[in-house]
Amino acid sequence: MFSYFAKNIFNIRFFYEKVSKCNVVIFDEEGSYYIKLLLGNKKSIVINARLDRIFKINLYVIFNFFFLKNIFKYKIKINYYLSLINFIKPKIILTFIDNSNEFFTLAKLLHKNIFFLAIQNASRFLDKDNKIILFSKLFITIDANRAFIPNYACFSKFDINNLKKKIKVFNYFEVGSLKYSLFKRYFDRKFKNKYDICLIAEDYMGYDQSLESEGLFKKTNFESSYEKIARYTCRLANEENLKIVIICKGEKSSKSYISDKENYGRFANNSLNIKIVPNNVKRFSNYKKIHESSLLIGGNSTLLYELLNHRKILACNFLFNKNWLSFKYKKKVCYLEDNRYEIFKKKLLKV
Amino acid sequence: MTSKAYFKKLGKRKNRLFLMAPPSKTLNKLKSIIKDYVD
Repeated sequence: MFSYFAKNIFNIRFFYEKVSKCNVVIFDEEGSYYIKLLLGNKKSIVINARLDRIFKINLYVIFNFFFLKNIFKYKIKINYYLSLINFIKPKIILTFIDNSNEFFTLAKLLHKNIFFLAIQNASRFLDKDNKIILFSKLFITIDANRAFIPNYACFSKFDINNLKKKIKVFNYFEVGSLKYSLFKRYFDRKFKNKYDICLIAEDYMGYDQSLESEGLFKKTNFESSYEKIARYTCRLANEENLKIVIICKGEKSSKSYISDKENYGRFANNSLNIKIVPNNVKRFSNYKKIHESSLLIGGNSTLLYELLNHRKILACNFLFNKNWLSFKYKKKVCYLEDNRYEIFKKKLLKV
Repeated sequence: MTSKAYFKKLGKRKNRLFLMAPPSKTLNKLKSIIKDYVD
C-alpha cells in the first residue's frame, strides 16, 4: 500500500476552494462520463478516487474540525471522503464502479442518510464455493463479506439471482446495461457492414497472481484460451478471406492497448484484412465496430453478454474450468466449448 | 443461418433468465430510481 502511494505521490495536486453543496455525487471519475450522460443537465460533483491519475486534494476539506476529529478513527482517504461529503451534503451517491472497496466503506457508514446506488459495470462471477466474488472478470477478487451495496442496479434477473444472499444488498433493480443503452440513445444509426467478424481482445495484463497461488486458476490457461480464439479467428480470416476487426479495451495511448496490439498483432501477421483498433470510450467506438460487423466473437467478455440478444455472437469457452461461461450460453447455438479448429470453423460458418 | 433462425435457436425470450432489459428502457428505469434525489 505504501509503495503504491509512494509511486503515485507526484499525481497529487493540492488546491484550496470552498466546497459547494450539491444533491448528486458521482463516486470515482472512472465511469462518471456515463453517469453524467444519464443525468443530463443535472448538476453533480465527481469525487476523485484514483491515485494513479491526477488526484486533487482540497485543503479546505482537510483543515476543518470534522477531518481532524476523525483523523485516528478512519483511514486518511476515507476520512477525506467523509469530510468532503459532509460539506457537499448530497442526497444521492452514484457509482459505476460497483466493485470499489471505498464505495462499500462509505456506504456502510452513510447509507442511513444518503441514497447509495451502484450501477453494474460488468459481468460479475462467483467462485465455485461462493466464497469470493470475482469482480471484473477474474482480475480482482473481493471478499463477499466486505461487499456492501445498499442499492444495486443490475443487468438482469440472472445477475440478481447470482449475487442474492452472497453480498449485502438491500434493494436490487433490474435495469440492463447502462453503456449499451447510452450508445443506443445517443450514437445509434444505420451502420454499414464493414467487417465479417469482430473479435473482442481480452486483456489479461491485470490478472490477479494471488488467484494462481490459491490454486483457483492458471494464468497460462487464460492466455492459451484467448490466444487460441485469436489464432483460430485470424486463420479462418486468411482461409476464407474474411474481414476482421479486433477491438481493444484500452484507449489509444493506454498500456493495455499497446500490449493488446503487440499480442494480437502476432496473429494478424500484417494481414490487410485484419485491423486492430483502440477503444474510444466517449465515442462508444467498440459498440460501433460491433454494429459494423456481422458476427461478434469473444471469450469471457461483458460485451458478449450485453449484445447477446441484439447481435450474432459466438462465445468460445476454451478454458480449463468449464464452469465460467457455460451457465449463460449452455446448449445455445452461440456457445462453443470444443477447442479444435475444425469444430470452431464449422460452428462459426454455421452461425 | 438467417438472423431469424439464429435468434430462434437462442431460445424463447421469456425462458431466458439472463435476458437484459431492452436498452430503450434502461435509461428510463434508472432515471425513475434516482428522480426523487436528483430533482
